[in-house]
Amino acid sequence: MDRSKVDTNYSATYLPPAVNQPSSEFLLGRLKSYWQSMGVTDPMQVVVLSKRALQHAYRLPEQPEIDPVARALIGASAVLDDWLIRSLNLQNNPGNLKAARAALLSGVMPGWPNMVLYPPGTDEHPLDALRLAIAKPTPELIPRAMPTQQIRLFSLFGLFRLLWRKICHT
Amino acid sequence: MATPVRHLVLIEHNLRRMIFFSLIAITTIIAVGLLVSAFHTDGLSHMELVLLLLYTILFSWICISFWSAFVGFFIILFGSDRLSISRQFAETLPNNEAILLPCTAILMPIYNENSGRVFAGLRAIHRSLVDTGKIDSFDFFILSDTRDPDVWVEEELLWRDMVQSLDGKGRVFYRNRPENSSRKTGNLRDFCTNWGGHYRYMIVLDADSLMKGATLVKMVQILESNPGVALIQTPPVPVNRESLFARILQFAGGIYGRMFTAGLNYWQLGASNYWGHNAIIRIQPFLDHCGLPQLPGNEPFGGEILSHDFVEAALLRRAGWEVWLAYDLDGSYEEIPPTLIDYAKRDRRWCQGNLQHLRLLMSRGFNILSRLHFFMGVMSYIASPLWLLFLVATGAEAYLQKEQELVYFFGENWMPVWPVSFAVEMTTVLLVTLAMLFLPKLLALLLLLKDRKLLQSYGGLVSAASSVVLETVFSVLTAPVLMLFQTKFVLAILMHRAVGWPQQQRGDHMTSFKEAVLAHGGHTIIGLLTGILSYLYIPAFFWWFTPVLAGLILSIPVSILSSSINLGRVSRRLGLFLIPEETKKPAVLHYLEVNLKEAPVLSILREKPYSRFVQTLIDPYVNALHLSLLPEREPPGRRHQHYLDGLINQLEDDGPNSLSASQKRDLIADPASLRRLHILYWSRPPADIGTL
Repeated sequence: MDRSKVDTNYSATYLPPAVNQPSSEFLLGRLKSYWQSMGVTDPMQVVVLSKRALQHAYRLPEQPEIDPVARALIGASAVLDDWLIRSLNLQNNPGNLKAARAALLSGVMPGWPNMVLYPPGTDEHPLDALRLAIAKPTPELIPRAMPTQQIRLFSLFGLFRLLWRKICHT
Repeated sequence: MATPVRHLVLIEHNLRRMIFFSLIAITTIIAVGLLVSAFHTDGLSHMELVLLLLYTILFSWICISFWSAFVGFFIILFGSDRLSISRQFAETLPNNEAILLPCTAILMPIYNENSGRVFAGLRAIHRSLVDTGKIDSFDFFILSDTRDPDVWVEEELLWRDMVQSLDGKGRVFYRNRPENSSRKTGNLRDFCTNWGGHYRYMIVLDADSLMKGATLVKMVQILESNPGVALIQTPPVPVNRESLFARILQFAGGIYGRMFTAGLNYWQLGASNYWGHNAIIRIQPFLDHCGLPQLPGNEPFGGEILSHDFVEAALLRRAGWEVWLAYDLDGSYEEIPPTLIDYAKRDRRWCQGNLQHLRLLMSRGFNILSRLHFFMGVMSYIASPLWLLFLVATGAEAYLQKEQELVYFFGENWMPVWPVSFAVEMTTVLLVTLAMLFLPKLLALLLLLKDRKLLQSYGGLVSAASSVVLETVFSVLTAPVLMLFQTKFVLAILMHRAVGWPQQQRGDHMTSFKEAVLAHGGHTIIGLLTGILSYLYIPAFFWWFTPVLAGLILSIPVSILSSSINLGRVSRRLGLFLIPEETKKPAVLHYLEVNLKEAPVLSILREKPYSRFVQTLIDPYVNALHLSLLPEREPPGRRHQHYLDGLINQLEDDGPNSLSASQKRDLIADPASLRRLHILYWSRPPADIGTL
């Protein structure tokens, strides 16, 4: 029997186990990859955005099932969302926020990291491109009724009943 | 109240129908009379009675096609039909440019289709509409019922790409239904009840439909100028395929199709039918009258109405609305199955729906012509087992005749009594039947002589005539195969058995030897056995039977060869089976070709990822886009949450390949699970993340 096949580490799963006490290098490394996947290429911007993400992460309520790395990544998303909400006035509009995030990441506003790092209102021009790119998937709902039609199928019994009624009537 | 003019029109409608059905009745009576006189030598046997009954049904069935084509021939020969929907209202239409069109929705209901082709087609229609200058009057809806998670995400990206590249914000819409209840009917109902209020008309397309912008505009104008019409169907012309099989069918559809549709319009007029796509529908009457019920009982005859189009047209007619076939509106296209096997697979899907109409034939309240449409739908499949039965009965009768010994001297007769020959009657019956089947092909060829430009677009007289001859040979060879396929489908449905074929492949592809043997092995064996038995026991019958036997015995090579794209291309180079759309490509078809080659605007679409599902979990943009397109919904219940947690755990442990397509769909349909997985992938990236 090939022992090597039996003795393989049973806990070796597709996603590696969570790191419960990550070093700051590890944490920043994951954040860096995440920001890069969103199109942030400038190392300085990556550092500043990561710091903001960590600040956000510290403010998040404690949840035992969320490990520190995940918390930091949630913080990164929150940095982006906060900026979108403030810049585009999207308070109380989760649907539009999602559409705005999708539009931003589609690449219509290549300099967005700069915008996030500056206070809102400094240069409104790039935001117009973002507003234009926010496309709603469907128009507003106008509910209409579509009543189910009655189709009276032919049945011999029905035919006899009809005949009987006619006979009785005459 | 009907005006006197309207009254006259109605009289003319009824007169046309009377003439048409009288022609069918008279022809059938003559043919059946000839057969009776041939049979009636010593009284009718049981077998002869069966043969007569079958012949009457089948002959009247082919009579409908024949007379439709015959009438259509004269309509096209002398110009066009005075009562056609497009001509009838052409005079009332003001200058096209000045008309402000009401906003119309172009609907593309899709289900796990080749999304690249779907969006390329929509973009071609969009561009064609831009050419007309009326694009602002049209909105596009991609109504997705797609269940495959990879295809779903691909559709979303292509939608976004279309919006971005065509400046389609607020004009091009997309939604994926959380539950695809009631299939296409439910899909359209969902559109009508949610967004139908924005529009007066909707134009329903199929995944492989294409329509010229000018045709779409004209359809809206015609409906706009006639408030009594609820639906206009255009005849879709088959195009764009390259396999030999599809090119032959395209040619047949192009050259004969216009004659048949002109003939159908002659007698159907405002009581026409709906074919499910390439049609414009007035939304309000559709909402009011086309909510389809479930039929009582179980499948195949109960449950959801499968072939909804016929029923919707019948319901509109029942409510007093007119339904027209605009036979003379060009610019309406569709793509057909590329191989004989795919063609049969499509038939399998349609067969069950059409047989279900048997129950509606006698339902109360439907117009007589709606009943006839139901009957014709049923007959298009029932005819096959009836033809088979007819052939078997003919063989049996021939065998019985052969076994009878002729007696020349009986009773007091001292002179021999020669048997009376009915060869003339039998030959006449045969010739009449063959004429009914093949004369329309000749008429179609004659019609080409009238229009030199059209004749050239079919490659000239020699090419067109050769193509008609070859197409006839091909249809003779494939008819028995389709007869056996359809008989099998009808029997399977009646016995509540699923035939179990996978989903239809729309794109050109060649039939493999294995696939052909699996599909046609039975046909070949049946052909060989029947051939041997008939040769041994009824040799006279054998020779009459050879066309049918040849079709069955050669079914495997015919199926493989006809699926060949190379042979299709060679036939095109030889000028065979040419259609006008190949000779001079209409702009909308050209746009489609360009769109299929053009690189998308979204860079992510240029990548071919390992899986769009995994990309949705990892890529922040794809993830954000998908989240933004998910409909608002209540948080899942406790049990469903446990189920989703279980799937996430499974993915964590065993990777995405361990999940089924429906499990993947469940995960990415839930916003919370999707966010959780996105964070999971980035906080604990798998070893193979670089390759994903």
